[in-house]
Amino acid sequence: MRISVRLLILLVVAALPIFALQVHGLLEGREERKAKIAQRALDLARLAAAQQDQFIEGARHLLAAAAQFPEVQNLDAAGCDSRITDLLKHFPIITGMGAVAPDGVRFCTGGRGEAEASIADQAYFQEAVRRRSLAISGLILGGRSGVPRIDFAYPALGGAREVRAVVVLAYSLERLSESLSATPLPAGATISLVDGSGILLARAPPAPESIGQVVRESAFTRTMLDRRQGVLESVGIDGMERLHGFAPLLTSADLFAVVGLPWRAAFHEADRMFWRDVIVTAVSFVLAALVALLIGEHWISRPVATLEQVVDRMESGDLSARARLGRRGSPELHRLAASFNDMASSLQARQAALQASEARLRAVVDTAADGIITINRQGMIESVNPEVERLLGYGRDELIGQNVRMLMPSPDYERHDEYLARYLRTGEAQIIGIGREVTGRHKDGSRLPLFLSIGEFSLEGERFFTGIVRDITERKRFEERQRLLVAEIDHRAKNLLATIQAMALLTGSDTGSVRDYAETLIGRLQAMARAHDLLARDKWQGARLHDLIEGEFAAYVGADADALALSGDDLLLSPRAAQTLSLVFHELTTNAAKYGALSVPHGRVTIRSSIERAPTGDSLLLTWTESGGPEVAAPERSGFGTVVIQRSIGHDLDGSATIEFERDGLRCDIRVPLS
Amino acid sequence: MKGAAILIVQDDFLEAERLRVLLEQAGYTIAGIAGRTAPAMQLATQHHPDLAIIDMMLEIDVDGIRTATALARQHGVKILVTTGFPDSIIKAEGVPELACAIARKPYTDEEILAAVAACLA
Repeated sequence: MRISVRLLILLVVAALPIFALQVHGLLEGREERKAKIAQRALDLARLAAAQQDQFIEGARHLLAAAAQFPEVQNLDAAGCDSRITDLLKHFPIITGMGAVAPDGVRFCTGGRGEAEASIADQAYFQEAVRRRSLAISGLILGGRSGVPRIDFAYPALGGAREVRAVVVLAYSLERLSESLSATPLPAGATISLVDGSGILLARAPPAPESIGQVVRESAFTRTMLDRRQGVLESVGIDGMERLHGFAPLLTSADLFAVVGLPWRAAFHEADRMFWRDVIVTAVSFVLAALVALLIGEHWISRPVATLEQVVDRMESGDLSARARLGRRGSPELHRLAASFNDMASSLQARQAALQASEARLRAVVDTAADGIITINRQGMIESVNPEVERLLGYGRDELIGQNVRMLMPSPDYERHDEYLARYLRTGEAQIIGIGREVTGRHKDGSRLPLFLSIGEFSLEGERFFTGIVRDITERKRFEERQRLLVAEIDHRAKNLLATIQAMALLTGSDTGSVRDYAETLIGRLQAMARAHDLLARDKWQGARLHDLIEGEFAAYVGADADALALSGDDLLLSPRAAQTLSLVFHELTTNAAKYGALSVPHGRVTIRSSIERAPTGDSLLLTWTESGGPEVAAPERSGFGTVVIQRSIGHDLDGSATIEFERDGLRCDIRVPLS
Repeated sequence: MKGAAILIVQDDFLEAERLRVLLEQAGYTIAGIAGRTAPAMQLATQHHPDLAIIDMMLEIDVDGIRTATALARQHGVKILVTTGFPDSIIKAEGVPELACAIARKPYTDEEILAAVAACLA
C-alpha cells in the first residue's frame, strides 16, 4: 500500500472520533431542544387551561349574580329581560344570556336572544337543576344563527335551596377562538380547546371550518383522557408536525387546552450548527490531508521512491547508482540513503574486485596451454577453454551441454558414464586426483595421446569435475625417439664391439709377439677412430676422401710432405664407404711403412682419385702407387691386412681392389661404385 | 653336423670374415658371404645352404629380417640371427618365430658355435 494512502487512512482514523462527537452532540442537542419544547408546550397548555378556567369562573360569577335578580327568581319576564340586557352591556363577549323556568321553558332572553324556547331536554340544564351548580354544555350547533356555541346553565335557588329558575349563558366558539388568539405564542404555534370526545371547540390561529370536528386521531384523545396532561407528537390539521402539550381545565373535567409547538423548526439551529461544524471539520480534514500528502510526498514518498529507483537500478546491475535526496526526506531517510550509498560503494568495490579477479582467472584459463573442461555429475560439459577447441577440433558450442564421452574413443566412450556413476556411488577414484595418460578422440576421428588430471569441486550443492588435458603427442614422439635412439646407440655400440671383437680375433691370426699384436690392433682401432672423428665432425653425413687419406698419412708418416702426392677429384664419401676405405688406407699405409716405399727416406706414394662416369652409374677410381722404395714381391701368404684391402671393398661397397707388386713398388687399384 | 653349408649374411666385413674363419676352422662349409639382400638370395639359390647366419640389419636398403624371411620361405634355410638390438625390438620384429637361434652381439666363438650346432642338430 502506498505511503500516501496509509497517511490518509491515519487521518481518517484520527478524524473519526471528532465526527462521532459532533454527531453525538447534534443528537443530544436535538433531544435537549425537543425536551425543552415539550416542556414549553406543556407549560403553555397549562397556562391556556388556567386562562379558560378564569374565563369560566368569570362566567360563573356573572351567572351567580344574575341568579340573585328577583325578576329572575319570580319568573318576571319583562323585568328579567331588562336587567340582563343592562348586565350584558358590560360583557360584549357574551353572545346571549337568558333564563328558563324550572320546567325548561324560556321566559327571558336578555335582549340578544336567539335561544330555543325550551331547553328541558338538554343535559347541561338537567345537570344544573339536579346538582344545583354550574353546568356547561358540549358543543351546540344550531340555534337561530347556527353559530357553534357552548351554553352555561346556573340554577337560581330560593331560600330553601329550591330551584326557582335557571340562568343560561351562550358563549360563541368563534369568540372563544378570538380570545385564544390573544394568548402570546411563538411563531408556528397553535392553541386549541377540545372536549373529551376529541372535538375541536376553538383554535388559534382560527380554523372555522374545523370547529366541531374531530381533528385528532383517537389514540391522541385516549392518551389525553388517560394522562390528563402531558406532551404528544402529532400532525395538526394544517399537516404540520408539532409537539402538543395538553392540560385539563379545572373548572370542567371534560375540556382540555392543547398547545402545539413546531419542533422541526427548533432543530434548525442545532442542525445548522452541526453542519457548520461538519463542514469546518471536513475542510480541516481535507486541508490536513493535503498537508499530510504534501509532507508525505516531500518527506517520505519521493525520497522512498528515489531509494526504490536506486535499488531497482542496483538490482538490474547498475551499481554506480546512488541515492540523492537533496533537501527532501527525514533524517532517518537521509541516514538510510547514506547507508544505501555506502552499501552500493562497498558492493561496487567488491564487484570490481571480483570482476578483476574473474578476469584474471579467465585470462589464466583462456590462455592456459592445457585444455580445461568442466563437467557436471551427469558428465555433461559445462565449460571448455580455447585450448580444448584447438586440441580436439570442436567449437565451444558443439561441446557445451554434450556428454564428455564424445571426446573419447572406444572403449572409454561406452564406459565413461559407468566410470562416473561408480565414482559417485563408491568414491573410489581411478583417475580423479591421480591423473593418467588417456587417448582422446579428435573431431576428425583421429586419436591423440593426452595426459588427463581431474579435480573435483562442489558449488551450491552441485558436484563438478574439472579435467585438465595436455597434448602429449610431442612427448610421446620424443619418448619414442628417445627409446629408438637409446636402442640405436645400444645397437651401434654392440655392433662396434662385435666389429672390434672380430678385428681383435682376426688380427691375432698373423702377428707374432703380443707387443706386435697390440700395436697392430691399436693401429687398426685408431684408424677406425679417425674415420669416426671425421664422420662425427660432419654429423655422420659423410667424410671427404682427401681428408681421410691425409689423416691416415699424417698418423704414420708425420709432416713429410713429399711422401704423399695426392691428386684428383675429391668427394664426400658415405659413412660406410669412409669407414671401409679408412681401414683399407690404414692397411696400405702401414704395409708401405713396414715393407714398402715409406720404409725408406725417399720413398713416395702417389694417390690419384677420379670419378668415372658411366651410363650404369658413376664410380670412384683410386690408384695407390708406391715408388722409391725397396724392391717388393708378393708375400707367400695373405695376411689379414691384404685380406682387408682385397675383400672388404667388395663386401662392404660392392666395389673391388687389386694389388700388384711391381718393381718400383706396390700398386693398388680401387673401384667403388657411387650409387 | 660337420660339413653343413652355411651362408653368412653380414653387413660388416670384419664380422663376416670372423665368422668365416671360425666356421671353416670348426669344419663347416661356407656357402657364401654376402653383405646385402640381393647377393644373399643369389648365393642361396646357387648353393642351397643348410643354415644362414644373418645380421638383423634394419636399414632401408639392407633389411636382414626381410632377407631371412625370404630365405626361410623360398629355400627352407634355417636362420640364425645375430644382432645388437635390444630384446624389445627383436620381439617386435618377430625374430623369435623366425630364427632357430639368436646370437646377441658381442658374442664369443663358443656362443656362436653352440648356436650353429643347435640350429643344425
